[in-house]
Amino acid sequence: MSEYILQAKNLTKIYGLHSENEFEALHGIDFTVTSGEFICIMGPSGSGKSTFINNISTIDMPTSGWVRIHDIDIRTMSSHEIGKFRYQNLGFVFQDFNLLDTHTLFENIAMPLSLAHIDRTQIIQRVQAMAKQLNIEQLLNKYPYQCSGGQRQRAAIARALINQPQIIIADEPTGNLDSENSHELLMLLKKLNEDYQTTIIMVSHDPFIASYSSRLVYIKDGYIEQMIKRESLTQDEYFQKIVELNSAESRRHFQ
Amino acid sequence: MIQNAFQSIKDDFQRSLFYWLTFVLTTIFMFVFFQIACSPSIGMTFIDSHNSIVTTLSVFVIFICLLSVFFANDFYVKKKSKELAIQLVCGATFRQLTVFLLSQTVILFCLAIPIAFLLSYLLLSLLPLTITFSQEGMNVTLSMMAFEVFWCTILNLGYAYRSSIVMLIQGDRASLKQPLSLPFHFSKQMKKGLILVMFVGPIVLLYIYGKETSSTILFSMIGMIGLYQFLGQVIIPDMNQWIQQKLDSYLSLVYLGFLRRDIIFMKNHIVFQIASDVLMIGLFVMGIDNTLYMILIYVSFLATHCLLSLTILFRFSTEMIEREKLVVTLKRIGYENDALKKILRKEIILLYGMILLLGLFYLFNILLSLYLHGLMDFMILVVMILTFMIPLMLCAIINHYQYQKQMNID
Repeated sequence: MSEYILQAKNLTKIYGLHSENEFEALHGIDFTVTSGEFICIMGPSGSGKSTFINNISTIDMPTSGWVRIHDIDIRTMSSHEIGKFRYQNLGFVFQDFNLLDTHTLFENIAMPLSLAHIDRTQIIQRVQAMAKQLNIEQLLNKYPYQCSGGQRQRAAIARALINQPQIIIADEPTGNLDSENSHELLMLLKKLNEDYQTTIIMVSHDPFIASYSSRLVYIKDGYIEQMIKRESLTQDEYFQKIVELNSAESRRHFQ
Repeated sequence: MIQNAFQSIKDDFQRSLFYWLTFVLTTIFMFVFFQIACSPSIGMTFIDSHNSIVTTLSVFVIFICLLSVFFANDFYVKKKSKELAIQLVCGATFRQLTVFLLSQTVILFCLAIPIAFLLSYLLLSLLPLTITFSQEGMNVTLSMMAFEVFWCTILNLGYAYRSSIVMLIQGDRASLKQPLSLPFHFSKQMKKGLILVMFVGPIVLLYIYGKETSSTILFSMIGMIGLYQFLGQVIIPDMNQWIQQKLDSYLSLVYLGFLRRDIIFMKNHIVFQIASDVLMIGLFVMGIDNTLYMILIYVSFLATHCLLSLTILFRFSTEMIEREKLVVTLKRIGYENDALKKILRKEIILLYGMILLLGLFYLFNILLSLYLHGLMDFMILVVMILTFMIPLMLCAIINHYQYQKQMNID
């Protein structure tokens, strides 16, 4: 058994293969994640962050190279196995919440449990407990469009966490939140990471948000350009390093 | 703008085809209806109207046609919201936006007219009666069609006027309306009981007093109020409970939620469709002793039912646009394509099955009571039921095909 929870080797993604518009978005990336890491992926717009996160999380398939989660190569999985793998191991949080407007918050949060064939009484108990933890128990019978952005994001997180996944994939999770709700969400992710050793892979543009992570992966033009580990740095020192990296990248354009 | 309009029709061919089909059907319907209504045997005139049944029927027919065009227009324009937003961002004015929308409507309308007239002539020649060409019928049809274009202009002007870039990009949000609070309070069970009495009671009365044809219409309309309440106050709350019971079934959890939303979204359409059919049957019985009346009312029943079935199809298709994102979310949660196919199929079957069952529950009982009272023969009963079922079943098949295609899960 490998020490890594996730490994990517020579990960390449080409859009429009063998067509006029062929475009290589990721160029042979090697990447590993150990269990319990909190990784932030940063990079300029169009650098391939979302493509990268989609390819390491079964949402998209690499053109070449491989991705292994728990030593299983995702390219060898059938669509049935991928579906099962997602609800058993992965939790997704997105910028625009991705809740189903047709269902109440309760029903949205219950979906991964229903997919995992958990019995009804257990589903009710677990949804209520999770909602209590995230302070949305009063909103369970409401529809997403009746809730605020912060409430919806908490419901989306509840849905991502309800199956106790080992990896949480968050693509700009604070993108639609105000500063107070962003901070609350980050504290929650940090707590999950520290208390339950949940591995978190998060995409963000914001150095302050990135400073909550334990490792920063900087992607540019489809390559991993730099990595910074927080290790013994304080959050403030780590934040300074991230800002320096970002501004150095921006300054390059002036030269 | 006009060039853009042609391009837009080409790019969105499937929707344009449906919009065009609505124009063809409404034109055929109006032409056939007014040719029969203005024929010497019925003798309807618009200057000095003396035939109360046909006048009522005409008003109803025109109303249904306009309603159908309204939903077709809504369905057609809503899909173009991003296109309109881009035009607004690029600096298009209110007038340009109107010209863009209206040119598409007029192009499709002009393409529909020759086919519709040709099909109308064919249809009239297939009827078991000789209908002489009526100039007045033609004039009325042309006036109504001009009114239809005017109506589309109003709709498109309204759409262009109230469209903001943000609204066009974000789309409409569904909202649950709070029911009106009454000065008195019934317990939930009592309320359900009263609604059931209002829904089922008129059917019992139909069997007792159904010999009076006007009572058929009266009782049925009371039943329709009961049906409206039944959908809102019984079916939707019961569905909430049903979903809670089915939490451990990953397919039911999704398709029942989708179905609940469909019922909330289409409650008015469902009731209106059934009410219109019931009203047509009432009118049909009133004119049963005159073959020409019977044909006229049957044609009206068939056409209004087809057009209203189309409005349900359009309404569902409009809702479908919002579903694309939800299906992507379901895939991310872990739903596979096979499961999604089953969900969409079950949703369509349950929705159309419910409309068919609720409609048949009323229609069958009305027709049976008329048959038992000797006002209708068995063959007509069968024809009316088939006329009710076939268009809805066809719409279900089309919606199912569109749904799978739109959600990209083939």
